[in-house]
Amino acid sequence: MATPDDDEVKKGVSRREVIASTGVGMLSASLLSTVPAVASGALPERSAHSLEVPNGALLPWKKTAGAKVFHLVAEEVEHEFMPGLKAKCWGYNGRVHGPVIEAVEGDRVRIYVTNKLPAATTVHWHGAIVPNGMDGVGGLTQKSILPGETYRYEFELKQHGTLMYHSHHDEMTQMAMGLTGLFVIHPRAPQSRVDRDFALLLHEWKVVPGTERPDPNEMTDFNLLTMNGKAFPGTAPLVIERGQKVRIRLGNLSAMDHHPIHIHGHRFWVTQTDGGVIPQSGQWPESTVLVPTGSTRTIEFVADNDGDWPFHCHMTHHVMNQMGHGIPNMMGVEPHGLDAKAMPLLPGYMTMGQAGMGEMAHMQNMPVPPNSVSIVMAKGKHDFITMGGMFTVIKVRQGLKSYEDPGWYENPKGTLATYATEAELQRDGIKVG
Amino acid sequence: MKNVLFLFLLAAASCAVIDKAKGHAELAQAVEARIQAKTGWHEGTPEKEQIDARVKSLLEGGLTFKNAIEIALVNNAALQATYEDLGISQADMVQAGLLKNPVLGFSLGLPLSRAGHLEMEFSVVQEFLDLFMLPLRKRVAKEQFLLDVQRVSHEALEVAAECGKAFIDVQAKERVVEVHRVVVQSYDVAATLAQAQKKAGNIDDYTLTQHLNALVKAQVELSRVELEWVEAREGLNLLLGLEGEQARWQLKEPLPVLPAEEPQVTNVEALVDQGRLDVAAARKHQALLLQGVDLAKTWRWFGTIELGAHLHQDPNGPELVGPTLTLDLPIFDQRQAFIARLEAEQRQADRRLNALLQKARSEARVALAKTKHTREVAMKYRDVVLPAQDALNALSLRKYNSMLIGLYELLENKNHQLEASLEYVEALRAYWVAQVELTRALGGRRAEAQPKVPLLPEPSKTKTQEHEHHGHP
Ligand SMILES: [Cu+2]
Repeated sequence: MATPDDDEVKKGVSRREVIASTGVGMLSASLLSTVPAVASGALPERSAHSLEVPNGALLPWKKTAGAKVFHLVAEEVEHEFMPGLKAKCWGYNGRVHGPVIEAVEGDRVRIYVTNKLPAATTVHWHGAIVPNGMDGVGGLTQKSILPGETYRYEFELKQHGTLMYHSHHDEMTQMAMGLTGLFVIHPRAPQSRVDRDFALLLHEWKVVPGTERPDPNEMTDFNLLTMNGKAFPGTAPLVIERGQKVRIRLGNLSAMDHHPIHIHGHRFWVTQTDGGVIPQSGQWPESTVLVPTGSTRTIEFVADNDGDWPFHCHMTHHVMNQMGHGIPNMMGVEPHGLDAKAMPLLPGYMTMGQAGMGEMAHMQNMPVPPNSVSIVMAKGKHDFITMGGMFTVIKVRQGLKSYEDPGWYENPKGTLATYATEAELQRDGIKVG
Repeated sequence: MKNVLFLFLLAAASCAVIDKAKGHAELAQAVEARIQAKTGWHEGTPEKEQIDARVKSLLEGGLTFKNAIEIALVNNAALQATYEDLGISQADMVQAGLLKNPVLGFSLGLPLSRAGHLEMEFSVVQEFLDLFMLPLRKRVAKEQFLLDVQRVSHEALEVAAECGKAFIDVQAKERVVEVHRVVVQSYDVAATLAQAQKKAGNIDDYTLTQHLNALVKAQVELSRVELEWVEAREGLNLLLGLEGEQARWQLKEPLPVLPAEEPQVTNVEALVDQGRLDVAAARKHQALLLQGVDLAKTWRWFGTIELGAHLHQDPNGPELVGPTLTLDLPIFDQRQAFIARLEAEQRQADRRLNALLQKARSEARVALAKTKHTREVAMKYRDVVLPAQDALNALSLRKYNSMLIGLYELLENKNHQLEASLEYVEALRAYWVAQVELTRALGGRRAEAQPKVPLLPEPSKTKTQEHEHHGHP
């Protein structure tokens, strides 16, 4: 019976091997390198605390007398939101968002923070019950960390749950640039055991197509919505063996938005917030959980329904990539007369959008701005998937050999919506006009 | 004795033959050397049919810059009148070479009686002094004739310069009209989109009306520039003396782009001194007056030289006088006041020459500076602004493809591009006008010193105007 112990967290994989296999260690100037958190290869043993961070990483640590020692390096990071879209962001240890800090209730943690940014910064341990001077609020609870300086934070973890960390100095700029991360504290004595434990941090950005840096001044018109820093189709699927009990920890550090995260084909229980475990009596089942900004929500469910299931924010503009919100309303516009006049004047022009955005997916041969992504561009098994942004796929299968992407779901006969035949329509008395 | 005198008189008269081509050949040569264009008048006044035939052949296949100037040189009505000054001047010159006709005193006495006989007296009186004056008079008249050739050549160059500028103006205005037609197209597309959106229920009357109004404004603007274009054509027609069917020419060449190389023009002030025919004429005038002063002084005890002046009233041309010489005997008036007047006139001519030179040099310096400045501006448009506008257009289409912007914004970009091409047209127009001005200010240039008109098509034309329609009202 495994207990959430330090050695278990490291899971017998030597740090040297991990660094060698990922190369991440080369990139990071940190004393300690990040550890890839998505298991690969053979199915690992089930464990209550093998935290998985799709598209992300765990922050490595080392045990010293009296404390677990972590090292965060705040620095500029070239981050890829999805293939075809990169930007110069700010992150920690070469990543956006920062690697997940994973620890156990009762641990004493010592976290060094080195500032390699061109601006002062601090780190706030969001939701953690810490001595006031360890709260990381620039000016109020500490001096901010100047470029080149390294500060030490040290405190005891008096709680367990899904917390977060982020800059608390010029928050507007620094969080918009990506200086955020998750901070997961396992209970010393777990009440609820799960087979899979995922951590996802939600965020929103303004990256003007053709530019290479997020615009931190944006207040409302965000055009990139991410899970663990990735926009669909850049998000890695959550691959689950049927019957596994799944926990998904959702944190939200978006500048201005809350995200109702919705699951398909299942329902879940909201079991925790950033304040800790919700008593059993207070939990209720649902399929959409609102994750307000500055909050975390933890859901648990049994993955008992095979298939490729969307897991996404239900705000429709949050499942689009880099869309222009000031374009004229073209719905229902008759294009022929217009095209006849416009095409000679503007070679390459063609009226679009008169039936919505769905057709955009078919226009991938047209030239678009550099370093930008189409509104919707992922090709699915059956057709283009007209979704982007804060969207990922939960893939539930039987008999998985590994947690690598198993490909598209093979629908058993009779379980796929198909073209209705004339005979079927007649049989059921359906008249199509 | 009587025979000797008669022979002398014959000799003096024999060289005094009117030559129709005289002066015109020199003028034609002077003009061709300076602006590489033929006057068509080198043999004197051509017949109307000859002029018509020449104009017709010069209009063949559309009007070019060079042909327009040659048409003006042969067909400009005011210039044709000016050419006749050469005939007048030559006649004066011939006249100056003739002795006064002998006065035939003929009196008939009627017989008072039958016994009386018819008396007839016939006498030849030749004014003695006229014989002395003849060579002087001939020399002055010849100088005057040469001066008139220079003056008329200068007039021809002035007309050629006006014509050159008017031609470039027509080329530019034609481009302006073409671009404005595309501007109308662009607003038409926007209005069409607005109507389609309105039909679909996507915009209100307010927005639709805005787009329709914008289209009307663009159409009005087009009609304004079309009128300017018509005016420019008419201005050129007037200079070319073209009317009726002949006035309906088409341009053979669009407004040219910049020449690959700028002709080296250095030491403009010396070029002005050597090249300008109005300067040369003023110099000759000044020299004539100087000669007049000398003559008057030499002859003051014998008689008087009357320097009759014919004053040319052309406001643009130099004020020139031509002397005629007569003599009388200084019995009461020893001509001191007259000499003083002549001296003052001579000094005045000196000052006027100086003023003309200053003005001419200044014109040349300004014109040279203008060619350099306008070339730089046109190059900026050619190398930076227009490519940037093309790039913006392409980039905006990319944005459109990503649905970041709509058609209205595409059209706005297109309009910016069209504005830039209008500014480029203006820059090219200013450049070519400055080149004509420079040629004029220098009193002409040799062919090698003229800018080479490139034969390449307008670069922006291929990119921005591929769909516009040609043809004029
Ligand atoms: Cu959302």
